[in-house]
Amino acid sequence: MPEIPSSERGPDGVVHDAPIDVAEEVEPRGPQVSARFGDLITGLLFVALGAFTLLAGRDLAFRAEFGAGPGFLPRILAILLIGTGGALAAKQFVKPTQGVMALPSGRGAVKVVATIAMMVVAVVVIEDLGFILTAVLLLAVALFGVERKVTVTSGLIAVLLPLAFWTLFAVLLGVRLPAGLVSF
Amino acid sequence: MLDTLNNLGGGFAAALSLTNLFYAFLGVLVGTLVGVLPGLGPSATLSILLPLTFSLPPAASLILFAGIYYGAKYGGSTTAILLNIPGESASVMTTLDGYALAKQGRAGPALGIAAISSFVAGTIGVIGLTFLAPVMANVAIQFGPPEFFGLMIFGLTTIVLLGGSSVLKGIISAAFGLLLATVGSDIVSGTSRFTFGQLELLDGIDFVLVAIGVFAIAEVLVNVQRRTTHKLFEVPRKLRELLPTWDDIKRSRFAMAQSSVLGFGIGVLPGAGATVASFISYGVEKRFSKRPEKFGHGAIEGVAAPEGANNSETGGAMVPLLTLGIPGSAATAIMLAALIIYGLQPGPQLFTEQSDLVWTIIASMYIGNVICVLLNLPLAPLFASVLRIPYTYLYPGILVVCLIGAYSLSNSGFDLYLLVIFSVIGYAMRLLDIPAAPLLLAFVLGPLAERALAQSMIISGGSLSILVERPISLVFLVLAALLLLSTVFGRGNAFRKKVLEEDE
Repeated sequence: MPEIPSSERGPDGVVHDAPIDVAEEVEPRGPQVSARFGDLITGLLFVALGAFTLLAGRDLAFRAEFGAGPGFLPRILAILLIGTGGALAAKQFVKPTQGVMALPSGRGAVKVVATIAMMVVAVVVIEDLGFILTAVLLLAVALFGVERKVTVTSGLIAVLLPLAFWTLFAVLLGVRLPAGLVSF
Repeated sequence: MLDTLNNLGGGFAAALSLTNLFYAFLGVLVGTLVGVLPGLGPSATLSILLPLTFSLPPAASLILFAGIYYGAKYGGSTTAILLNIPGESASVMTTLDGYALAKQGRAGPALGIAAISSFVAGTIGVIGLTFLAPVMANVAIQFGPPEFFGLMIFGLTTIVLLGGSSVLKGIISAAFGLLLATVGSDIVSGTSRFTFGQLELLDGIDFVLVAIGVFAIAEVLVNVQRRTTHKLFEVPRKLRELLPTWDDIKRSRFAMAQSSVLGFGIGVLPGAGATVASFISYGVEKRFSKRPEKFGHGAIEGVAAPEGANNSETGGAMVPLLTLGIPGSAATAIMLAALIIYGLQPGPQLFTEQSDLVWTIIASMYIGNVICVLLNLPLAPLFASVLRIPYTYLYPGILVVCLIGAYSLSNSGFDLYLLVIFSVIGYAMRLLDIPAAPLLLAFVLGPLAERALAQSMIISGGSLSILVERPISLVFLVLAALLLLSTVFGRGNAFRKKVLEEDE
């Protein structure tokens, strides 16, 4: 695991908190794993995917009367994934990948999870509530909840942007979007 | 030659009126604005706007149509550069360096170079169409399924060049993309593969869902994680910094030249399309560049090459369409429908029986290309200014537009679930440093390669030897092998040299 940079240690060896400039972009200093471990997991994941493909596609014929059957390409790909995934994992014991991988943590991780959750909820309700209401809710949760930007601008964007998109896509371009409870 | 020039002159005479120039301008403007919208690539844009052209005289309709087509192609590259959302598969390569340039505050120059390269290569492509159509049509006829399979394998091998620092991860990503492409019905037997009982998966997974999820939304998630509270990119204030410099143009000149030729040549081959043209051109540019390490991190020629090939391909794709009546892609299929509606019957007799309208089409392509660059080059700074919007307000809007793009495919809520799944996959790939471009490109090429292989084996009665017995196919397969070996051993040599230097 990498050490805390020595520039943050005082001459007495004690770590001093540096003043934080909130206007600057802050890179998360959360948990990290070695790139070696990351690539090992990656390799094993794709070995597992390859094995799953072989299992799920076991009933697909490899050959057909005049050439390749439906299982021809999937089986080759499964073997390729097992081979390359295994090679990537094995490489970590011979010539490990250098460096570290930063993992999401703290507020960053919460925002990522919240964004994904927002999308899932939007996808679940969009055909019932309709595009406009769903988009208003999505924008409102993102701006007021996730980003905590409780401003008039956020409110205006949350209401006006879905209306503008509906006008552009559904009304002018004729793209079919779910009308739901509110539409024009 | 003289006859050709006379005919072209006649075409321009028909196309160049104030009214027709207005329609060309309108077509480019509307095509660009609609093409900018994520999820609406040129094919969707053309199909949406095609009815607009029906009420006009044939010449005006063709000019409007050409303008829409060029505008939509450029619009797709705009979102690729600004938001990392490829509007169509041919724009995927543009995202690699275009978006990297945007993050460095050089979105304007990237958009500008895209416009200039598109114009230069597009013009050369139309010149190729003008003078080489009959010759290239003969070449297109020589291409059968084995040759096509060889080309696809060569294309898939160039993906290895995009694997970044790890060839293994590039291959893994490409294999994953190929596997995703097998979901659906087998093209020969109709057997369902990996649908797990979901009827919606019988037609396979749409490219747009994978592109938006793995590229656009994954990028949003990464940016959201970084806890930025103000604008993500620095956008220069001075107009001069929002346009490409002379150095940018100088760096891109070879990319423009090779992409013009490659794009046209590949576009002639039915089914190859702009996607293959764009990334082969990118791969060639990277392979022979003096600074290949810059590619993927903001090399301006990495934008020029795929954009040039994308537009030059248009001229090439018109060759089989006009001379043989064979559309090579979704966009040219819509064009074929439009031409038939306008009263043309594409095929070998077209140049003799309806030469007036044919040359008007070709002239309108020149005009559309010129107007595209005249309109979009000044608009590049305006488009780049979108990035001044604080990311806090920008990304929720991006998410909504992505939902629209996904839902509009088949008005299915199931597609939205797939979108979320691919978003998570894309984010995980970013965390694990697995390149996404090989996945997407393999996803597009895989079905084409599989179809070509199946057709080849039917022709040969089940034998794979046909792939090496046909000379063109053999050449492509050998090139692919050489490219793969030189890339793998090239990296191996670099490592060996580094170890030797460290030992010293």
